Amino acid sequence: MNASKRTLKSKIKDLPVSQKILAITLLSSLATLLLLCSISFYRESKSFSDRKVNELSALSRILESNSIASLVFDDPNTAKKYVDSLQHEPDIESVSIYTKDDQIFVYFARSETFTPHPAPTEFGDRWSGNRLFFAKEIFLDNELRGKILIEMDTRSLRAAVSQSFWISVALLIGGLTITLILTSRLQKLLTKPVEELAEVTRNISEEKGYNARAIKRCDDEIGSLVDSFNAMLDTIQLRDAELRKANIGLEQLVEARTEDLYSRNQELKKAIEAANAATVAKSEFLATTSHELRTPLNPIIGYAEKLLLAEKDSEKAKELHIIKHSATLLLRLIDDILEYSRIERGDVQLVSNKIPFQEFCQDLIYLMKGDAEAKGLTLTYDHEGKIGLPNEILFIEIDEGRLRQILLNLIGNAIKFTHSGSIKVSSRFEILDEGHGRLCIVIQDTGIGIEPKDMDKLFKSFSQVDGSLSRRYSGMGLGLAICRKLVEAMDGSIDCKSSPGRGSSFRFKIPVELEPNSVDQTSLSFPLSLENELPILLVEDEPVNRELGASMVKSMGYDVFCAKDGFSALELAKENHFGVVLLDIGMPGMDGFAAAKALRKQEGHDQHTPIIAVTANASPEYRQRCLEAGMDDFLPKPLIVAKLARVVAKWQRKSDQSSIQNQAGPPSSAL
Amino acid sequence: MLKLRNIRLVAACLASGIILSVTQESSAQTLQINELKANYLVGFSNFARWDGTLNTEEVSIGVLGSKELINHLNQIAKKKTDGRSLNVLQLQPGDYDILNKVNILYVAPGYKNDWPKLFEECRDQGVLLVGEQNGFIQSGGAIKFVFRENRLRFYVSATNAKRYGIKISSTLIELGIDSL
Repeated sequence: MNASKRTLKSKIKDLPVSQKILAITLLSSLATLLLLCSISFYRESKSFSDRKVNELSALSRILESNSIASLVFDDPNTAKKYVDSLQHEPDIESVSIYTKDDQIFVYFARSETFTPHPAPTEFGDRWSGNRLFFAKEIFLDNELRGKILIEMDTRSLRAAVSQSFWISVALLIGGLTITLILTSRLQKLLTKPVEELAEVTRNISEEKGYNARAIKRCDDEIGSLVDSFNAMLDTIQLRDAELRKANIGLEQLVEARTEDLYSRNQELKKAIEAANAATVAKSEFLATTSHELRTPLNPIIGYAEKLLLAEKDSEKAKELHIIKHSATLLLRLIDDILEYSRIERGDVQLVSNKIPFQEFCQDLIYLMKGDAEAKGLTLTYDHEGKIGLPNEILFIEIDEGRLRQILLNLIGNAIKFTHSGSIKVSSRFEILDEGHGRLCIVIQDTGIGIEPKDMDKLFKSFSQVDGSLSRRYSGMGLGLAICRKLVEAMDGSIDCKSSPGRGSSFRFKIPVELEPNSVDQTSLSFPLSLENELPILLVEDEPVNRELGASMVKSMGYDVFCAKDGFSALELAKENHFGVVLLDIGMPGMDGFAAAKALRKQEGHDQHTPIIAVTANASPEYRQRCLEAGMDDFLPKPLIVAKLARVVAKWQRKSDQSSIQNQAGPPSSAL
Repeated sequence: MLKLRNIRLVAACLASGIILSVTQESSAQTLQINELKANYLVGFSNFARWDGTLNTEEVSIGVLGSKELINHLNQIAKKKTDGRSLNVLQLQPGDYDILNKVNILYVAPGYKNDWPKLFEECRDQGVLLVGEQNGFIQSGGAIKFVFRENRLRFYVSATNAKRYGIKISSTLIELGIDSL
């Protein structure tokens, strides 16, 4: 039902206005006429039936009055006369009078086959089929004397009702027809102006002819609508003109702005290109600077060291030591400046690898020990292995180069500012949870200490605690600033406690991943030279460096083969089996990266010769590139005998173990 | 001789039996007729209108003679619960002083000599006179019972009734055998 209503409504909604008016009027008229005809029909039917009932009631009362005496005085003949008189009523089928004992007293029937009805027990009117029965009791002096039952044929009544119905239907149809005719004629009064307006609107929307105007035909709401529409068209025309003008202006403005933007874009592009070029140039400059400064330092330090070993006890030892110390100092300054510029660029990239921590520290202490002892200081290292983990720990995941840099700086500072006494380096791990911990290292000296007021300057760039100190102690005041930046980059923290004249204590903490080491630590003490080791291949294009390197390796007790470039190295590696390959990176023809790749390619599946990059470019990116090219370790120039010895010894040993494992089973991957 | 005597005895018995049975039947009929008369007398009160003083709450019917009729009227009066109550009075000849309490007076056969005086007394009292002896209407009575075609019918004289200040309903007049 609701759906059909909705459909009818939506159907009407989509009709043209003229048909819509027609439909609405017809529907309204239909509803009204239907209601009126129904009410009229109902009232008429009710009136017919009520009239008949009233008629029968009146007849029964007359009959009662006439026949009561006959009943009282038992005179059916007289009563019969009254009853028979009703035969002139055409609809009366039968009339029966009963005694008070419900015996038939007298009756009249139109039908010859009539059988008297039983005496009524209910009174008033009763409808049954085509018959209307009316029953009444006869009382005299409040005493029941008899009963009357009148039976009426209601067919004439039904015929009258039916006639009334058809008259209603005829009125309905007539009414609708008149509505249809009148609405069809009169609706044009409404629809014509609307259709004209719609036509004008359509023309305007299709042909954009805003000059057209609708014609006003009447002064009603549609007339007002036409006026408003025409006024709107006037406004649109006016706005159109203004808009056109504004558009022209806007187009010119856009054109000018576009040109301006284009030229600015071009400038920006050039500026970006220039900036990019500058960045590249800066990086290249830094790399080149590093390389170029280190390259001459390499032979200076190397030869000074070599001569020191040879002339340990001669008088020249002191001068040689000064040369080496100065060169080393210069090297550290260069490293600091380059590192600081890298940090300032926001270019600190951490490259973590797994290292045996204690071995790493012992190496470092070993390296610094010479400097400390030269000043008459004792440098000791102690690891507290009691907290949570046994002594045999530990491999840790950390950026080895950065950690080394931090420790070198802090220990170097301690040596620098301590004139007598000792420097103690201690380390321990705080266990956070399984596999995670915090590395804590404390460097304690008995040096000059720091005034409390100077503590806040401590980790700032280019600042030393005192101007006079700047003169007294060499350095640019970058070391601690670099340390702090690096520690923070590794999510750690650094602080310092000091009392003037009594010494300082620097402590830093860095979160690390821990891994217990099953290797016996005692076996990690390094011999400086080993007998029956495989020879070492040194690949270096610079003759001075090649010669220095070869003499250093020889002094360590190894046999050495030298190659001046990558090609020669490949040739030599084909014919010999080397314990370690020391490979320079910056070489003409085939550089170190290409040579490493070629060497790896040349190796058999069960062979892995450790390749150690030896380069003056000490940047972490460079180190990462070396590892990616298939090299195993990285040794920045200038070469220092002790450092070289430890790295070579480490890889020689690993190579041996790998060979043993290879004989026993599948090869293990390089570190 | 004996035989003849026996026959006479049987005949006598038969005759006495027949007579007895006829008498019994006649007695039963009399009772029924009296009951009808009583009902008719009560009915008359509904079809007559008295000028003046009839108490509408009560109808008094006086009976001169016929004890059975009085009995029947008393029975009806006892049964009556609705409508006007019925008061039955037994009159003796010469009881004229209570006529003012009577609305309808039934005069049984056998009091013809009393009629002139009785009718004279009743004229002022508005009494509907009902009788059944021949000449009752002609003498001034209003209604006279008659037994016709085995049914109790009656004559009505509206003119006589009017003389006594009583109007008889046309319905009742119509039911009467002949209006005199």
